[in-house]
This record gives sequence, structure tokens and C-alpha cells, in this order.
Amino acid sequence: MMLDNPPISFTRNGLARGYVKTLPIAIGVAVFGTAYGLLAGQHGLSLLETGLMSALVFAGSSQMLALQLWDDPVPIAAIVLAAAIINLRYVMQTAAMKPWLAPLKPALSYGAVFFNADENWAVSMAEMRAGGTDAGFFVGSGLALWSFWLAASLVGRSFGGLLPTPERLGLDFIGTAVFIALTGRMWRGRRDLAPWLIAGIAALVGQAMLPGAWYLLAGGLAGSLVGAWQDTRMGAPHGA
Amino acid sequence: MALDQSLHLPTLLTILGMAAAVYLIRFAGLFLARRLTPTPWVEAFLAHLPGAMFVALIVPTVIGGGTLYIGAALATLASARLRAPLVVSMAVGVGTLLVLRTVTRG
Repeated sequence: MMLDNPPISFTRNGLARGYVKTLPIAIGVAVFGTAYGLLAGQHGLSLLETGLMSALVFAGSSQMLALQLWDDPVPIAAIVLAAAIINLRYVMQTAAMKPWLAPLKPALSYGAVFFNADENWAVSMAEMRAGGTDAGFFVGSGLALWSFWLAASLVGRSFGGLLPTPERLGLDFIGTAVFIALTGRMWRGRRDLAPWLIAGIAALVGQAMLPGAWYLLAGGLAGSLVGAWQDTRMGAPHGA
Repeated sequence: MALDQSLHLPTLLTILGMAAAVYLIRFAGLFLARRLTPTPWVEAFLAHLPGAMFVALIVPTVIGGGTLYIGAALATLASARLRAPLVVSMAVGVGTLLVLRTVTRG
């Protein structure tokens, strides 16, 4: 099976390309990073603690959720559990990175998965789909996001109060715009129509009926289930 | 500033717990995918996952944001379909939203 696939490399060049290609998104994510830093300060986290969480956890939704649950004393177990559940989608994401990561040495591949987050995963999947074979791209892309996320957290924690409200600059739309732009490029034709429709509907229903961010999982699962059923039923080519 | 670099044990434990839990999830996906050979169905499922997940992320936000968000979303989508670079698409989205906000306010 692996014989059909082109050889996977991991080069410095790939690292650099992944970093540069992710910069625009990293800048957008930095807006959220400053918001997280600002919130962290309001919940009593020190600058060191704020940065440590961004550096080690590196998952925006988990960190925001943790702050929402933050209390005195800190409900450690509840926060850890919630942080894990909201990021269950990462299981499917790093599984999907297999074509790039499985051929690497185990230590390198299991180090690389640390950098998986929605945005750099999306950029990397797009690169993989376009025929990219340099797994360094994934880590470079992750490093771009990680460095901006950490820096923005610290900036937000230090200077958050001085920033203008995001709505005034239209910055509240940046995250959504990034995902729309990425999704627009992912369209592979009619075979994506039904899965995407179902994903959107399931997400809306899920948002009305489920707590927290579960709507995301509901929509993603429903759409992918329909897509898998449709593709295997018609015997259409898959993967790629 | 001295206070700002403080590190409380419960906070540290929470951060380490979160870091371990989230890493374990990232680890598990690749670990399982490595060990198990995916069936064509699973491969098709994974191939559909990115798009479906993004649509699920976008739709509630855009619908919840009302007419202005929908307008900005359509402009962003159009620019992406025209193969505009990511930064341009972002600027188109944010710019459209700002224009729409200004127009509807006036």
C-alpha cells in the first residue's frame, strides 16, 4: 500500500515553507491569543502561568474553556477533562496526517503531533492534498502558529487592556474568514455537496441542542459519515 | 512585576494536566492510525473530515452573526473560489464586514 505513495521527506526547506505559508493565519490566530491573554489576566493567572499554558497546552479552545471554568479553588479535574473532550477532534486530525507522519521515525512523528491544531492542520492537509510530500511542512506550520500563539498570549496578558475592541476593526471576523477561505479551496466538486450540507445542518441542530462546542463534532461526524457512505457506495476514488 | 511571575501549585497542576490530556489526544490519533490499516470506508471518512469539520465550524458562527456576517462570508468564499491568496481572502472578509457595518449604521 505504501508503495503506491511517493516517498515522504522531512527537510529544513519544508519547515521554512510551512512556517511562511502559515504566517497569515498565525497573525489571525494572534488576535485570539491576545484575547486569551487578556482573559487569563482577568482570572488571576500570572504572566508566567499564562505563557506556560499557551506553550504546553497549545489549544485555543481548551484554554478558553479552562478560563471559563476557572474558580477558587481551581477545579483541576473538571478543567482537564473539559480540555480533553473539547479537543477530541485532534484524534481524527492526527490520524488523517498519517500519510506524512507514519513514514517518519516514531520519535519525530510523535513529537510532530504536539503541534497539531486546527489551523496548521488545515493548511497542511491542503498542502498534502496538493501533492506535497515534505512532512517538515507540518511542523513548520505548527511552529508558526505556536510562536504567534505564545507571543500573542503574553502581549494580551501584558497590554490587553489597551487594545481596541475587536468589533470596531472587524477583527472578530478574522477567524471565520480564515476558515471560509480554507474551506473554499477544499471544494473537490459535487462529491462534497451532500457531506457539507449535512455537516452544516448537523452543526446548527447540534448548536441548538448540545452544550459547549459539541456541535462541531456533531457536524464534522455527520458530514464525514455521509461522505464515506456516498463514496464507498458509488465506488468513487477516495483518499488523494 | 515580581507578582506577575508567580506560579501557584494548583494552577501549575491544572496546566500540566491539560497539557498531558491534550497531547494524549494528539498522540492517540496517529498511534491508532499507524496500528490499524484503514478500510476504504475509513479512508473516505478521513478524506471528508476536514471539509465537514470546517463547514460545521463556520455555519453556526455565520448564521448566528446575522446578515452582515453572511454577506462578509459570501465575499470571502467568492475570493477563495477565485484562488485569491489567504491574506487577500481574509482582508476581503474583514473589509466587507467593516463596509457593511458602516453602511447599515448610516
